[in-house]
Amino acid sequence: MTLSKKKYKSYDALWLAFKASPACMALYVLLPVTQSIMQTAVTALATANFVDTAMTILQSARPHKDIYPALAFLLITLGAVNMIGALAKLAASRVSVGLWRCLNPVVVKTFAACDYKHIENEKSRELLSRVSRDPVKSVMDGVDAFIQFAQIIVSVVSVFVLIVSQVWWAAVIIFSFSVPMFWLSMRAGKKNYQAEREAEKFNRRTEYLGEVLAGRDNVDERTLFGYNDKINLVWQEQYEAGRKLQVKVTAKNFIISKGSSMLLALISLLVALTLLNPVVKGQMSAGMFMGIVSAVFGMIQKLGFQMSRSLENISRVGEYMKDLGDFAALGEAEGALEKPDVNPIRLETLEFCNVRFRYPNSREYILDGLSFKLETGRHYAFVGKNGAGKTTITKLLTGLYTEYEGRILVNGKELRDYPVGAVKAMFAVVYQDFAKYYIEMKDNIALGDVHTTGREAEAAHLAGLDEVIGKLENGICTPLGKVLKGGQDISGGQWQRVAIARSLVSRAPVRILDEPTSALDPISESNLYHDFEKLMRGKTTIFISHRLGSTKLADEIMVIDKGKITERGTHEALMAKKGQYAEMFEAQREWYQ
Amino acid sequence: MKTEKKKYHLLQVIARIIPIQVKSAPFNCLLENCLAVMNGLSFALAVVATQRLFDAVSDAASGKAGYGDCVFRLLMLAAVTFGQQIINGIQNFHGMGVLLPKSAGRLTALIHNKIKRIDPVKFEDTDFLDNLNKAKEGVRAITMFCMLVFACVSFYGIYFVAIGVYLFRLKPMLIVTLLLAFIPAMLAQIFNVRIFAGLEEESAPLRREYDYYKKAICDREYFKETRILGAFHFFYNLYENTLKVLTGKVWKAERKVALLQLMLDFTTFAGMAASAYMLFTATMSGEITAGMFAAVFAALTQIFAIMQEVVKQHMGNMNRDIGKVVNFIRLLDMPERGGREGEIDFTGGIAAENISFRYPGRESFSVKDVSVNIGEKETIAIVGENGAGKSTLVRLLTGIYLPTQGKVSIGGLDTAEYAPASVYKGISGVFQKYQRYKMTLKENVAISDDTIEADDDKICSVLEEAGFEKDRIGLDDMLSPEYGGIDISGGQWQRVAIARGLYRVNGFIVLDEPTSAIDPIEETLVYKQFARLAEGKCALIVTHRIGSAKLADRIIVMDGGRIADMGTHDELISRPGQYAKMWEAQAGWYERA
Repeated sequence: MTLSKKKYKSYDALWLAFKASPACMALYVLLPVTQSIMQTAVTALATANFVDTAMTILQSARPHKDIYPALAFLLITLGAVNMIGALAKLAASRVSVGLWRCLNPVVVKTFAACDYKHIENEKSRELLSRVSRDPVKSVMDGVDAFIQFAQIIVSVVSVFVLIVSQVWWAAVIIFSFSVPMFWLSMRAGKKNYQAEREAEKFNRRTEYLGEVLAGRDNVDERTLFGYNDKINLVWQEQYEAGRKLQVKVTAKNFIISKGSSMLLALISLLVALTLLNPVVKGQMSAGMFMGIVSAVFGMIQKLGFQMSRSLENISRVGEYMKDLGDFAALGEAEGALEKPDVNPIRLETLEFCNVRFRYPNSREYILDGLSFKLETGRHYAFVGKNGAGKTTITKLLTGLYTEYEGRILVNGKELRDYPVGAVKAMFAVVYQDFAKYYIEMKDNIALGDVHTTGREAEAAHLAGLDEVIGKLENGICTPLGKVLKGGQDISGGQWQRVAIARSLVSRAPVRILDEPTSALDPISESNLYHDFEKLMRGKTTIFISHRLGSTKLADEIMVIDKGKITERGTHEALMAKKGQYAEMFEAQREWYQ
Repeated sequence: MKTEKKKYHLLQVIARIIPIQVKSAPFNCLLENCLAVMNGLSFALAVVATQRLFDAVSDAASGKAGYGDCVFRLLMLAAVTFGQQIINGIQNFHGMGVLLPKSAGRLTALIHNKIKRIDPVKFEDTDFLDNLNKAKEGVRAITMFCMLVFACVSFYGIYFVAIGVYLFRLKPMLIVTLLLAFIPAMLAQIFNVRIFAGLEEESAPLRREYDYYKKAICDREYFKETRILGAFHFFYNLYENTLKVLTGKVWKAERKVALLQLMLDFTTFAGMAASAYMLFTATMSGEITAGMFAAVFAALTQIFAIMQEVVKQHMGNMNRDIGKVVNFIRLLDMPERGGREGEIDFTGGIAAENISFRYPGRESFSVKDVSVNIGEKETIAIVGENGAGKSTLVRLLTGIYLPTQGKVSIGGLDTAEYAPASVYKGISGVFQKYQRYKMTLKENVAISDDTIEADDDKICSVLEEAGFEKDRIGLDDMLSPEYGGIDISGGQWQRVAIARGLYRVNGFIVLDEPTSAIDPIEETLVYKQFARLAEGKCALIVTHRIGSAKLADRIIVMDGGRIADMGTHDELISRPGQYAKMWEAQAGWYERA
């Protein structure tokens, strides 16, 4: 299955389900429809047949044994109505399993391939999570709704056909009255989303305040400041305000759904009234009257409820399918799913030439004329305030964003002209928010180089993980985190070492470490710096940090401010300059004098 | 700590929860039950009205009754049907739209109130957090549960009694119908629970894995790293494999369920057929009329369906939800912290004698044999590695936690003996995980002390003291873009937190340094603020940067939960030990030759 870049409509849900499992989908449509016919028209016929036969027998006009075929017919109908449901459900679960197997992987794949900018954009991020949350359920709910709706139509039509076959003119009268009412009740099924959104605002607020009152993060402040009672009062006020709005919405919905039930009741009354005359005149048998009236009145309860719900669900799946279309249209980043090249290029120089970049939807340039040149085998430190654009540099280098102005040159050639696989193979990054993969520690490290394995233990040793591994139950093969069976938790600092080990197995010519010490205490931080010297000797590295102690490791320091390099040089040169770097360094050093 | 999980039985739970529910909305509970009784009666009445109509019609067909009789009875049926629809609508609306949200609000407020009195240390216990979450999520389930109990008595009870009486009066034997409806429904309930419980148990770990692999590909925290590493294929393969196994299992269970359902449906059918046969013999022997037959036959489906609804669906839901209800009860039953009232006097300082502390569920002590005195107006700094027990000690010294062994007295009050409110009076703090309340600036500051009337002048002055730049921000500005307010920087938030700590009237203040990455200049400002805040009162400063400890009168060095060393900066630095080692480790990076 693939998703096409088209506008998806609510009925496309049926098409998706059909593609997932054609035979079962056909059954899933046919069985419930059959059940509806059986339940209404056929049951009515069987009842009529039975009652009429019984009545003639009771009047001694026919022999006793004539009743048995009528009884058999009645019971078989009853049996069929009862048993079809289970089969339909089985077909439905097969369709659902089929969808699960072919739709979910496609969604995951499409998600994985989407342009990175969508991940950092709140709006498209929401779209992505809406679509990927539970595609099967969303589609199946829609399919169910369509089938329910079909059942309603079939029930109504089959009873109507039955009436036509009995007294055609009664059918005409009923038809002319019922159509507008039916149409009205369907119209009423559409919902008012505006008021719901209004109430949603209050709900979000109470949800937040509930977090303040019962969350774990603020237990210290909550306990010491003792604001529970006051906030609880606010919570209740907000809750009540939201609830009152919600009551109005619910009342409206109930009136609508009951309204359509009432209209159906009215139709039923009309049917019974119209048919009474033919019965009295002998144009229609009493049994047939009973059969039809039972069927019609029996539908009221179910239909009124089903109709508004199925219409609601159809419009909901409509929204989902629209999202799905938008999702498919988001656009794939070229080579997003490719692996890094097996053999990375040899790096000579890496140069930023007047690079300007702003995030999509942002007016301010985060990088504003950034220029620098890095040479192979040297250590560089990038320092600067929060928000100066340090992390953005790593995102451009790794090809996550390509829409920058100016040029980034690797060995003199524009970065965007390299194949994606080559770019991925160029850099090994330990991100500030590095990934903690809840898989075996060995695999966790091995992911640093997806082409070869076998160097995990060595990297773990270098990253200082030996002690941790010694304590784990299955050594380096122990799953980390609580997802896999036998998984064990390790501390934030230990995770950081795993991330570093991961970058060590990589054969990329450039290593980037973005705030690698944020989760570490002073001694561990210091140890890491020491190790770093050892680990990175002779490699090209970029070290991003505002712990300025770390700049001791660097051959050259770049100070970034407002998207530009404001100062660059060795530590001594920058200190002599008495600029921003000197100020920051002094601020920290001050504490150690 | 293994909390003793008391077993609760269904009846016990009902007896316990009904009064709570009724108290949460007494009038609505009464109304709900009245509506249910009326609803139940109206269903039974509809059967009677149908029967009377059919009798009239069959009489009319054989010329024994007139058109007028039929119309009158038809109108009766219509009246009953309309009435039933109206009552049913009101009841549904009242239950789901009014009673449920209203009670949910009251019950949640009850939880909030309870949390206030629970020992804060419980928030470190994952069992408790789990339970709390479930109790919060289960609030609606509680009302649903009670509504089901109500419905079983006042709706279904009344319905079955009324129908039973009616059937009994037609022919005593017919009452067996109810039993015939009950047996298959009960069987279905028993079997269904077993199969799904089995499936759940088997597939839960798989499902967790499956969800996780998707996360490792799609979630924001993994997305960029998975892409750059080229790890997509690694996780996608795992994802597909678990998907296959999981869906295979689901399908197998569904098949089993369908087969079972088919068998159960057959039993249902057999029950209905038996009832129909009884009706049939009664009709043929002339004990009941053909009209009665048709009416009761039409009602059979309803009787069986309602029986299934009660036993299979509602009992099933009750069984499913009982866990949530029990969680709620368990939360309410948790021990509370209390104690005597008392006046705090900080001239006595803070004293801890040989205190030890162990977190619930953990084997080892986090703080062991610690004795410390904070004299009047003395500032003490606590330093140590991650996990050395610094934050725990702070919580003990402020009375947030009670020591497992030993005694803490704050301003002359033993924290274990006096009421928390008395102890906390006069203690303030700026915590490591200070909160960014999504509230107005004013509320963000004033939240720390609700004993004094929020006073704008005081708020302004503490903000100024904390160095908050309120050029363009008003006191009533919402500090959250999510709620239509503004976004402020991390540094500004830190200052709000400081202002908050300052605002609370205090004689003892705790200052826990933030670990999140802030730039050097900002960091220095925060330390300076802390120092000012600590002036002239008892103060505790927790720091990860050894340098800032210098400011304190005395320094405590924590290691493995014990006090490794204590003294002034000069004392500590002059002797070989942990402090000197840490000092060297950090200072070393700021010494450049």
